Amino acid sequence: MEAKPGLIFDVQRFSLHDGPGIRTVVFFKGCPLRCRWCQNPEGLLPFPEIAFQAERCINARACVRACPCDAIVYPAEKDDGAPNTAKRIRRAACDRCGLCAAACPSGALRVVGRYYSVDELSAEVLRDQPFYRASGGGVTASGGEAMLQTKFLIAFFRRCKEHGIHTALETCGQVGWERLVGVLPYCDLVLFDVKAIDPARHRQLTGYENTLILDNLCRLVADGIQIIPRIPLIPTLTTTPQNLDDIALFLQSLGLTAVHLLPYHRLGEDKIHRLDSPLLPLSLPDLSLDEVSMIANRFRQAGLTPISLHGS
Amino acid sequence: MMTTFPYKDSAQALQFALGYFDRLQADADIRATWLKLRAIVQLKMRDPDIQAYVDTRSGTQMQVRAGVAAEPPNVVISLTADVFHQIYTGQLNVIMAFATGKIKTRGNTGLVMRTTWTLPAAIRIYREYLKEIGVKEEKGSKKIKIPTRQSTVSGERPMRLKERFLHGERQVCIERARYLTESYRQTEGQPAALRQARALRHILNHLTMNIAPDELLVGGLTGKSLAAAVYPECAGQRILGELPTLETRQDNPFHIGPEERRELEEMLLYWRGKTLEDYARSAWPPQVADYYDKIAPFILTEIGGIAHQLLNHEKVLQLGLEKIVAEARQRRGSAAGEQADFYEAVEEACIGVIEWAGRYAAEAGRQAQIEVDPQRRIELERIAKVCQRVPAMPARTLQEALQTVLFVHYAAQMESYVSAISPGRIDQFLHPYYAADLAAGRLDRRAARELLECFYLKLSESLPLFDSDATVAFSGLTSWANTVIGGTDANGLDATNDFSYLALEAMERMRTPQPNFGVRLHANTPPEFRNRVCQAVAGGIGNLQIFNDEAVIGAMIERNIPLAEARTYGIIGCVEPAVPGCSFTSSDAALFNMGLCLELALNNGCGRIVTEPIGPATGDPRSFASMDDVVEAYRRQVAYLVSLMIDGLEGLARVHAAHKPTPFVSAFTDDCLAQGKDVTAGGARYNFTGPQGVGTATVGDSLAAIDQLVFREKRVTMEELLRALDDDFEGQEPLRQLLINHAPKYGNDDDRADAWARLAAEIYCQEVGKYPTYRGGRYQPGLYSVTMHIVFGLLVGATPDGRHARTTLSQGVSPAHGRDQHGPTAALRSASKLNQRLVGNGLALNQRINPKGLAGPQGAGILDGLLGGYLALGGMQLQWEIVDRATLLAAQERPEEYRDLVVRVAGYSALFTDLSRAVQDEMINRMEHEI
Ligand code: SF4
Ligand code: SF4
Repeated sequence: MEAKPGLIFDVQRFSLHDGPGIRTVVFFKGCPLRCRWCQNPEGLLPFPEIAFQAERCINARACVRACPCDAIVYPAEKDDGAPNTAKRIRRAACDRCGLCAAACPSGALRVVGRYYSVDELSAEVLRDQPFYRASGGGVTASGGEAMLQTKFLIAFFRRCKEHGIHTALETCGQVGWERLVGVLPYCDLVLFDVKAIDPARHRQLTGYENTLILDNLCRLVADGIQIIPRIPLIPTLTTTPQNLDDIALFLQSLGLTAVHLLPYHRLGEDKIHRLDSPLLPLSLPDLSLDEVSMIANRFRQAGLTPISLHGS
Repeated sequence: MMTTFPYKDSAQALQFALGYFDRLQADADIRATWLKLRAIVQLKMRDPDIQAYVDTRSGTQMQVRAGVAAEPPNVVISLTADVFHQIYTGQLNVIMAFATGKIKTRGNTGLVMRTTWTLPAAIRIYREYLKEIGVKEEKGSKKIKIPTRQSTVSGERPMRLKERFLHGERQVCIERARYLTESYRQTEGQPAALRQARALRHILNHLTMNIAPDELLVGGLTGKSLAAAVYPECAGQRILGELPTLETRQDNPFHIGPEERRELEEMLLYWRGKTLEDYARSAWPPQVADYYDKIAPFILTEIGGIAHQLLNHEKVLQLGLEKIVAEARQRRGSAAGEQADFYEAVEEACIGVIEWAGRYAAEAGRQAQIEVDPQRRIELERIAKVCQRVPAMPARTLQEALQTVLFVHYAAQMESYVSAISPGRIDQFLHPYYAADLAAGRLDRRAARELLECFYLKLSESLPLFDSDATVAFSGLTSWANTVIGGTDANGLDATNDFSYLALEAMERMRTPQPNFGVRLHANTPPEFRNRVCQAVAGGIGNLQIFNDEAVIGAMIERNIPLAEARTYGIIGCVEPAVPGCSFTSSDAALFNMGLCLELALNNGCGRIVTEPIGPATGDPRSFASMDDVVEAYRRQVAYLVSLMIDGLEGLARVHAAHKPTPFVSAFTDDCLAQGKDVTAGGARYNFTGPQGVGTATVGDSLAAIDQLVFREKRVTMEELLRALDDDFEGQEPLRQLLINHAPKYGNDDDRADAWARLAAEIYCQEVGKYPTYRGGRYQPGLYSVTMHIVFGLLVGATPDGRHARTTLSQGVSPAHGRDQHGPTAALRSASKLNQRLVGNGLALNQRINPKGLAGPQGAGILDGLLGGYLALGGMQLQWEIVDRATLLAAQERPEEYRDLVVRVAGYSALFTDLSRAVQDEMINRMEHEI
C-alpha cells in the first residue's frame, strides 16, 4: 500500500554532520515546536509556503501578472527603508497557489515544500548510494519534524532499509510513543534534541513542556536503539550553567555517552524574513570557540563525550 | 638633509628589502612580535616600486614573500622607498610619518602599530645591514653589491632552495637561442635530423653551467637560474614584438637586459621565414591560416613545439646513453639515406648530453676544490662523481637515477619544447634505486626524501616564456611536468610502494609548482594509501589529481592499446594518459571551441563576435522543428570545423617531421631505433594526436535550455531566444534568469541536462576519432581546457544557458561556474555520465571543496568516501580546488559564478551566495580564524 505523499522542503546531498559518513538529509516540513532559535523556519508549517528572497529579485514583475489574487505588493514595501527585507506578498490575500513562483524567472519567489511519493524520494536518495557505501553514510530524516508524517516516514525508511541504506532520524521528540515505536524497526540511529530539563523553561523556549519528550528519550534508551542526544547551545537560553548541568546529569543517568553540541549561528535567521514566519530573529552574538570548548569541558567532566558540530 | 634609499632599480631594491626582512626574522623579539599578529601584512613601496608581504597567519611561521599576497591582506602599508629608508635609519619618526601621511595604510592599522616597539632593534639591524653590504649611510653610492640571502635563511636544504626559487627574479635566458642559431647557421643544407642533433650538442657544449649553493642535483634548461629559454624556431617571432614590454607586463614579467635583447632581436631576424609557424602557413589550406589568426574555432598548440611525452626514463636508467649510442651506431652500419641520418643524429644528440654531464662533473669538481665548507665540499665531490657516470652509464643509486632523469628531462625540453615533458611514474622506475640505497645503508628515508624534494624544485625551474596571448590561455608559470604515483603493474596487480608514499610526502612538504602531481587509484589500491592521499588533500594540497585506473584503461583499450600496456599508463601534461616510453601522442595538439559551434548552429554558420561566416550554413534556427534539427546543425558545424582543424594539424605534423625532428627523445622511445624513424615521423609504437574540446557544460546546458523552454514547455520562442542572444540579453534579464533558473543544468545529477552535455561532447569526440594521423596513428579527443575556456569565451556571444557574451565557457568537463548547486556528489555523478570511453586523451574535472569542514581524520574519511563513490561510478579524473577565504570573497563579488558553494552546518541547509552580506562576512571571518 502506497503511503500518502510526504511534504519535504529540501533534500541536501553530501551532508556531513547529521550522522556518520556522507549523507543525504531529507528535511520534512511541519513541526510541533516553535523553538525560538529554529534555524529552518521554513520547516515549521505543515503546508507549502511561498518564500520571497529580495536579493534575487530582478524586478521582472512576472509575479504581478501571474497572481490571481492580487496579493503581490509592488513596489516592495520596505521595512524602514532597509534593503533586502522587502516583503513582496500580502500574506492575508495570498492563497499560496504558487503561480508567482512558477513565473518568477530569477528564483526570488519560490515554493518551499514539495510533495514526494515514496518512490520519488527513494529514487532521489538512492542516487548517492555509492557514496554512502564508500563512506559509511546514509540517509537522515530531519526537519521540521519528520515524525509528524509517520506513515510516510516509515514507508520511506523501510524502502531505504530494503536497499541496505543506513537511516538516521533527527527528532525533537514531541510525538506520541506509539508513533515512534513504529519507525524504530527501520531506523539505525536517533539524533534526539535535548534543549532544557526544567519543564517551565522548555515551554518558554519551545512552546511546549518537555514531559513527553523526556519520557520518549527514556523509552528509546530502554529500547536499546543507538541514540545521540543533540544540544543546541543558544547563548543565554540553553547555555545557563544550571541547564547544562541538568542536561548532563540527565543524560548520564540514562547511561548515554556521546552527545552532539550544536553552537548557535544566525544562518537561519536570514530565512525568517522571506516567509510569513511565526518566528522573530534572535540576533544573538555567536559563541566563541573558547565558550564552546568550555561547555564541552563541562560535559566531559560529567563523564560524557561531547562532539561539537561547527559545520563549514 | 636626510639620506635616501640606496637602490633605483626595483629588482635590486626588492632583493635588498628581502635580505633585510630575513635579518629581521633572525631577531627573536621581532619574530615573536610578528608571529603574534597572525596576519598578512602587505608592503607597497614606491620609487623604486617593490611589493612584498609578510604572512604570519599560522602563528608559527613568518613567511616573507615578494609580490602581492594571493589572499587579501589584513593591512596594506604604502610608502616611498625613501621614507622606508629614513624610518629604518632612525632619521624619521614612524608616528610622525603616519601623522603626516608619509605612510598610508589600508585595513587594520593597529596591527602595524603593535610592531613599533621593536623599531629600535629593527633600526640597529638595518644599519648593520647597510654596513655589511657596503652602503654608506650618508650618501647612496651607485655600485653596491647585491646581498645574498642564503646565509640568514634558516630551515632545511629543500626549504632554503625553495625560498630562493620563490624570491628570485624571473629572467629570459637567450643562450639556447644563441647556440641553436649559431649551429643552424653552420648547418644550412644538411638533413634536418642532423641539424637538430648538432644544434642540441652545440647548445649543451656551451650553455653556462650553474650549480647553486645547497644543490644536490644539477642541470637546467638555461644558463641562469630561474630563467626561461627562448625557442626562436617555434613561434619565437611572436615574442619579438613584446620584448620591450616583457619586463613590465602585468602577468608573468621577465627580466631581460638591453644587450641580450638586442642580440635576441638580431637572432630572430635569422629565423624569419624559417619557423614552424612560417613553414606551417605555407603547408596549410588558406582557411586554416585565417582561422589560426582569429583563434575563433580552434588553436593549434602544436605550432609551439610538440614536446608532450612520457620519456623512457626506465630505459636510460637501465642501459645508459652509451649503450643507446652503440646500438644506433651498429644499426647505422646497415642503413642508408634518411635512416642512416637518423641514427647518426641519435648518436650525436646522445653524445651531446653525455658531454654536458661531463662538463657538470668538471664544474662540480672545480667548485669542490675551492669550497671552504668541508661538508659542502663532500657534496660537490659527490655531484662530480654522479655526473661523471650518468647518464652515460646505468644508474646505481637514487641520486644517480634522479640526476639521469633530470639531464634527460632538460635535454628533451631543450630539443623540443618546455611543455609537458613528463617524468611519469616516478614511484615505479625510481623505487629500485631507493630500495638498493636503503638496503646498502647508503641513504635513509629522510635523505631520500630530501633528494626527491630537490628534484621537484629542479623540475620547477624550467619556466615557459609565453607571449601575452598564450599567457592568458595557459596562465601560471608551469611546464606541466606530470608525475603520477600508485596504480597497477602490467599484470593488474597493485603497484603502490614505499616510494609512492615518499613522493606524496615530499609533495606535501614542498608544494612546488612542479611536478604536476597525480595519483592513480583502482579497486585494489591499499585503503591506507587512499586515505593518505585524502589526508594530503584535507591538509590543503591543492594541485593533486586523481585518476581512476578502470576508466582510464577502459578508454585506452577503446583506442586499441593492449591491456597489459594500458595498465602501466602514466599521465602527460595535464590529464593525458599514455603508455610510457613507447608513445608519441602529441597530447596537446590543439584546443577546439565547442561553444562556438553551438553559436554557429544557432546562427546559420555565422559568429556573433566574429561576425562572418565561419561554418557551413545549417539553416535558420527559426525553422527548426525539434531538438533533432538543433543537434544536427551543431553536429555539422563540429564536423566541418574539426575537419579543418585536422587539416591544420596534419600540415603541422608534416612540418615537424621535415623541420623539427627530435632525435634525442627518439633515441630511447620504443620502437624508433628498431624502425629507424624519428618520433615526429611515426617511429613510436603508439601514435596519437590529441585535440581537446572546450565547453562541454556550456553547450550541454544550452541544449538543455532550448529543449526544456523552447520545445517542451514552449515558454520561450526560438525567435525570442535568438533575439536575446543577438542583444546579449540587453533589456532581457528576465529571459536570462529564466534560462538560468528554469532549465536543468549539467552538474546537478539531473539527467535532463546531463544527457545533453554527454551528447555535446560525444559529437565532438566522434568527429575527432574518425581521422588517422600523419604519423600512422589516430586522432583521439580530450575534454579539458587548461585556461583556454576563458579565451574561447571571449570569442563567443551569449549562449542559451544564460551565459553573457565574451564571458568564460565552462572549464574542462566541470559544470559551468556556479551552476552545480547540489553538492559534490551530484556533480561527480553528472561527470561520470559522460561517455568517457571516447575520451582517450583525458578529461579534467575540477571541484571546489572546503577543507575546513574536512579537517582531521574524519575529514579525510569523508574525502575518501567521496573518492570511493566516484571510483565506483567509473569517473575518470578529479581535481579538488580548495575553497578558502579568497574564494568566499570572490563569491561575494560575483555570486552568479559561485552558486555551488554550499554552507554545511548540522541540520541546516543554504547556499553561501544566498546568505545576507553580514552573515557572509561573519563566515569569512570565521574561516580566517579557523584555518
Ligand atoms: S502564491 Fe499565488 S496567491 Fe500567493 S502571491 Fe503567489 S500567485 Fe499570488
Ligand atoms: S524542533 Fe527543530 S525544527 Fe522544530 S522548531 Fe525546534 S528547532 Fe525548529
